[in-house]
Amino acid sequence: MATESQPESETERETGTGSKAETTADRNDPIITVRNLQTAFFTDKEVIRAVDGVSFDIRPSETVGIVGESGSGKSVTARSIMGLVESPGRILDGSSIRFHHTETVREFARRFPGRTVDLGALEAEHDPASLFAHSTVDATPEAFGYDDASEATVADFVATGYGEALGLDPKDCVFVTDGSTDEPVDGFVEITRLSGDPQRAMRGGRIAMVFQDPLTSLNPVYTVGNQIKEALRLHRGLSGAEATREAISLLEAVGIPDARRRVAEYPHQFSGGMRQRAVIAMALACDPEVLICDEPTTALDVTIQAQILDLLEELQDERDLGIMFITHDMGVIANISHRVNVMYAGEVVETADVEPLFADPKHPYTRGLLESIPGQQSGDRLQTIEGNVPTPNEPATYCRFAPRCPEAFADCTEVHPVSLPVEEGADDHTAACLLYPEHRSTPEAVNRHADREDSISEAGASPATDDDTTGGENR
Amino acid sequence: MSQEPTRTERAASDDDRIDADTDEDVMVKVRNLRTYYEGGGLLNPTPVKAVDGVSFDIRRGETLGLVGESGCGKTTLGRTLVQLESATGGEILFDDVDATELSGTELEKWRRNAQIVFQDPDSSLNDRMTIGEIVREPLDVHDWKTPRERRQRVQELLDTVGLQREHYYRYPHQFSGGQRQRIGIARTLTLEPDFIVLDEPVSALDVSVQAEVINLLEDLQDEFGLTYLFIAHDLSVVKHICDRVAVMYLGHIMELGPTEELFSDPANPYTHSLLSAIPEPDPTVEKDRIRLHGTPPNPRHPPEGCPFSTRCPARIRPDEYEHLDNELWTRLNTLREVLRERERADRTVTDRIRELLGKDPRFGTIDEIYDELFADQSVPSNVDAILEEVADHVRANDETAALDQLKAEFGGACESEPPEYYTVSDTGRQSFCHRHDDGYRSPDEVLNTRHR
Repeated sequence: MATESQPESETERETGTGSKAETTADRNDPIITVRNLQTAFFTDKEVIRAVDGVSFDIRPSETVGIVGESGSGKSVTARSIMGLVESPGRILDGSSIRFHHTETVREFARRFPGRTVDLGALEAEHDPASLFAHSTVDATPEAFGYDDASEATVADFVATGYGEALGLDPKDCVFVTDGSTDEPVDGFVEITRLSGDPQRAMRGGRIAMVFQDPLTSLNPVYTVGNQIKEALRLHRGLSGAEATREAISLLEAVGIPDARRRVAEYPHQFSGGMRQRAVIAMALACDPEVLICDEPTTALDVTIQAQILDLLEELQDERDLGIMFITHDMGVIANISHRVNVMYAGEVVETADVEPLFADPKHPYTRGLLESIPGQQSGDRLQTIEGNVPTPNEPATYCRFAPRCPEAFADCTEVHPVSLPVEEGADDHTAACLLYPEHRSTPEAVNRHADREDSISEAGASPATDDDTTGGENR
Repeated sequence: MSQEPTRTERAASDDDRIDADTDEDVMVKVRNLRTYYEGGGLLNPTPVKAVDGVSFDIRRGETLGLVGESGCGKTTLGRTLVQLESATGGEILFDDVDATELSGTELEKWRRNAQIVFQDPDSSLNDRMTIGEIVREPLDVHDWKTPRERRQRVQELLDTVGLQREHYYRYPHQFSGGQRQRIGIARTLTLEPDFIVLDEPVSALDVSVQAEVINLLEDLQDEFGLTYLFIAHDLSVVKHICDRVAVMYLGHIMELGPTEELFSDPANPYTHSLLSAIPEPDPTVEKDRIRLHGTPPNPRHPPEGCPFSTRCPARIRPDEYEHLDNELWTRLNTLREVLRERERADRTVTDRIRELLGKDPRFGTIDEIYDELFADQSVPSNVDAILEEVADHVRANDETAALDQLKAEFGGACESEPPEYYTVSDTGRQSFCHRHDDGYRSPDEVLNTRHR
């Protein structure tokens, strides 16, 4: 994280997601940093902002859970990281997904020298603070999570789609922060800028994905071995008997007995749990650093689900995998994840480590989700969250959960809440709700959200709120 | 145990159950129901035994839960109860009328009383019909009163299930998953049935929507005095809504009893394993999970004895192997599983030729399998000797002999004969397991020593 070094000060502790990586320095450095990710689908009728300003980190040997109802943007987040968003959808400018892995940067710099940029050289040419004034840049320092323009770095600009202001080629995607382009010491790959060969090398090779339905992610007319060997051939250049041997050992690694016979069988000859194991074997074929699991156990029975969850845990221990685990099942999340992001209508509404989140959920939506699980409550009737997840088809100038929120008050329809720590010092636990931070009175808290939001959207499409209406009203 | 006493005991236990039920208001009596899907003629004569001899009662006004893994036959059982599948044997007595015997107009009349809500709200509504037409269809089929009254009735029903009367003229695609399931529920209610089979009505829905539909189902039950058979694989839903629960495995009911009791103090090893596999929404709970290995067997080739014997964590072991290491025991099971699969797998001509030529054959040699399974295990000499003999059979391509040998050596009561139903509590809870016999230790005890 050399690029984001910034002074630790009291005022900065509440600047939200941008500084979180620094304040939780006792963990490993993140391998994937998602900042202000926005993915929108442009249809004839409307623009659907499926993912709208999502920020989180994935660290090696950590499982990050993403939970939410259908339509909350979980899968689009995963697909954005994999570069699988298809037209009419695209990732908007200002989004950044950085892949910090020195080995990868070295390899990519060697393979794609034309697309590698030395940030040190760029920094010498440009003054980050003055870039905010550039005509093609419509971001503010706050959008990067800073209080002041002087804290921004060149890296922030190149990574968020404003590289053109610095005269970058749109194809540049490997950034070296330390060392030269020939001998990189540190750096990152910007996933949102990937295309062509580096995209294919990253997808599958460094980040692999396991989908929900194992039957649809396997091709019925090829043997399982054939499909694993395809990945081995494309990414590792193995073929023939060597590839077969590797495929067999992968199947053994995911706990499929009699792998040598299995490798020559077709997907229909496998049971559901076995198929998912085979898909996981395929994902592991190229020894990825990060595994994205999109509801991998939803189509499976509980006993098989338990087997797959155990397997993922084992594999994580063996290979230091960073896992991003998407599910709508709170029970599964509680079992497998270390850190949880709760998503609602394209936004992360609450982020915390798994224990505090379940012990003391802060956002009304998280509480609603937990309360509607049957079998957990003593009362006769199940608690429900009235209404449905709205389609996020306009920039949020209000809380998207307000219409269903039991605790909504007047300001909720006026002020867009941003992710802030739920209480003083709890930088690890943030919620996007006007009721927080908890240690401040509600009007004061509302003002904080309004201020942050105002400055972020200042240069954007529409000014969010009128300060007069936000300050005076109380709950 | 010989075959003779078993039969008499079982008959006795059956009688007990029927006696115990006489003072209850029983609505549906299912006796020894079997539904087979035929193998289809000469080439493949073995039928798939989806439901293989189940007996239970459903009392008036109660919700009976039916849980189990996919492929255990729970949906087939539900569909057989409303005669969407015809039973191969046994009887279904609805107020003393055997539904399996009905046909023609009698069956049509009877169907007014027994309805079903399907799992997937997307595929169970015709996209080309309006909501009004969909919900009205049963009334049209049974020629209920006048068209005007039918429309009135449908609109009232839409109200009842929490939709609006105006929705009558809309199409299914205009509704969300939860609303579509409400439409499906309205359709089943049109003819005022007494008994409804709910086939996984909420498993396609999000958790908050799921809660709304469950609340609706409970309200309707109170209002109309309905009797439900609630099929689900999500045990937490079942725990919430059901009065009694039947746990199914491979066409058999493994345990049947009051919900509270069954969840807090399961008797059958399968119920134990199933409950321990549910992920609790509480990260602080450190569960001693009973890990089930493998997958349920193919219902075309079910095991001879207890249906759960291939995976059971509390299986009865021969005395001399009682203290064998758990991990080694699991590996032995895996070996048998592998051999069973090989026995059924066809070797193509190419495979045989490759084998003859010694060219990277598709079927790994037995030594490779042993290496994979037992290399890191300390195998006692008596077990090792048997494994050697088994290996010889496999080398001779005689998997059947190998399996017989393994069964003779490591099999027990569980694998040779099916268990009986034992009453395991004062409430008349039934469990299908050899371990309840006085001659053996109880499942609870065994699971505690072996897995905790």
